[in-house]
Amino acid sequence: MFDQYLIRKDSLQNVYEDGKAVGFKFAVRIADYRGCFLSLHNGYYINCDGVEYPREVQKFEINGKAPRDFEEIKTCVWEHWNYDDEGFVYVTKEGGLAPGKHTIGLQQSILAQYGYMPWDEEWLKNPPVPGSGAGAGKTAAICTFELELQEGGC
Amino acid sequence: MSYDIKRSVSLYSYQDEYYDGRLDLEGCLKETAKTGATGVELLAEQMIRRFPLPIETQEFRDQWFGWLKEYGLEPSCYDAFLENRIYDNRTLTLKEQVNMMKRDIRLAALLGFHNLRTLVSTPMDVIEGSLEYAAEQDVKIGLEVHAPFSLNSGWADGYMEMILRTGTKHFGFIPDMGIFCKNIPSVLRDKARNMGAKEECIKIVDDAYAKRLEKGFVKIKYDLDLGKANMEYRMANGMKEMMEAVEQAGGGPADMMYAGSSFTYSWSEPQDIIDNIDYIFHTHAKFYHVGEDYAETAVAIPEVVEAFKKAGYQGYLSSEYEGGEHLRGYMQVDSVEQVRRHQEAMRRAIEGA
Repeated sequence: MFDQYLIRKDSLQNVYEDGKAVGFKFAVRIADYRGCFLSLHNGYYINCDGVEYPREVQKFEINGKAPRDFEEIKTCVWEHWNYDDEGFVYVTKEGGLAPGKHTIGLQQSILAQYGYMPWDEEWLKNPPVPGSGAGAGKTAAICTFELELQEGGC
Repeated sequence: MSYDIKRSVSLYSYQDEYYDGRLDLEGCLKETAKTGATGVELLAEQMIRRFPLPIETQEFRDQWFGWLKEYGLEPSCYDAFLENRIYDNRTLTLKEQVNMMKRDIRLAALLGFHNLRTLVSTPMDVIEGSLEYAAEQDVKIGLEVHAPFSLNSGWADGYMEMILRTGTKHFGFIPDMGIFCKNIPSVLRDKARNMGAKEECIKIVDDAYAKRLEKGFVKIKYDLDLGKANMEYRMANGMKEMMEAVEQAGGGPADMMYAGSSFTYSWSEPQDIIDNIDYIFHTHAKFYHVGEDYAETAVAIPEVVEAFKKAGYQGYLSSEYEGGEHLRGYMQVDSVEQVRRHQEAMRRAIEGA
């Protein structure tokens, strides 16, 4: 729904550990029209410059806590991601991204109640892998962003 | 029969302004009051940060009731979501779902609401299991009747059976006025054109909608599997044939989007309101675009309001703007102006002779 706001345009940065780039991160908003309990958020489909980065190499930073992987996020049953709050997605990638422009394909997956979509029943039995067509709210598309890597990062 | 039709605004309407920080919760209440509406509908999960914790605090409630007093607003309806997938390995048990419904009823009551909207996905057992508590808290549970669902349908009969069997006064229907669409909303067509849809394909879809309207929509059945019921409904209303025609005309993604989305709107006879008035205590006045002439491009506001008058409706019509999602991809959404116009359109229909 709020597809074009999913990633903040000036937020792509490399992530450093002990002075070495170990990945990249970018800021995201919730694509639905309301907030959600964190355990309903089961990750992203991420494709950066043609390379897919599965959930296992993703972490999510929200509510002032250190980045958590999605195995941990799914246990955060009563923690709320507020509709108006920005979170950060961290992706592990040795060496980080090269300076310049990058193309990121993104789909956010949130298993919130919507009501009557044909896929609802299927979701109960078989939660979707992000990128397989199920998105947050009414967003079932993979959205593409052209982003310039920003200086800095941490 | 004498009626008492009041106007409310669902804060869902202001989702764009809230999302990009132009309005906060108090700002939304202030805008609501400016339209002349006297009621406010809230999606707590949308505009109450750290939901549901603040509602439990006296401090937040004092602020909430202070705002309502300051802006002259009455709580009209609390919109709840029964999130039954919060645990990774299973769906919530019936008991857990009933407890969640009771939590929402309690939160609604704490904020002064006497109506609670529940989604069509709420299982019947969860509603039945919550009725006694709803009566205790003086909160009515309303099942949203949103396209593709409709009143006077096999689907609605399933719930009528429960109402009659239990004799409950705390459950009924909340019609969403999107079930009274004479046309596909203009904003969807504008979006399709903006995405590059072909006029030929748009015409196929618009003609198919007009044909469904003329013949009467085939109604949706009651089924525990709503996805299945929805697909059957779509097929019974000619979706397959229409999609094939669009494909044959060389339809691309924009055309397919327009064609597929056309099935999220429907037309019911306004008489359905009159037939079911004993079970209607709140209404979502869904709308998509109101022009400068105060005419809605899809929803038949005057005809529907007339039916509410005839029926002797006592309750709110709550503006629910849903045009923004089609516009925000290519222009700034002005929900504030849209809600103002919609309230004026409803005022004219209600107060007109």
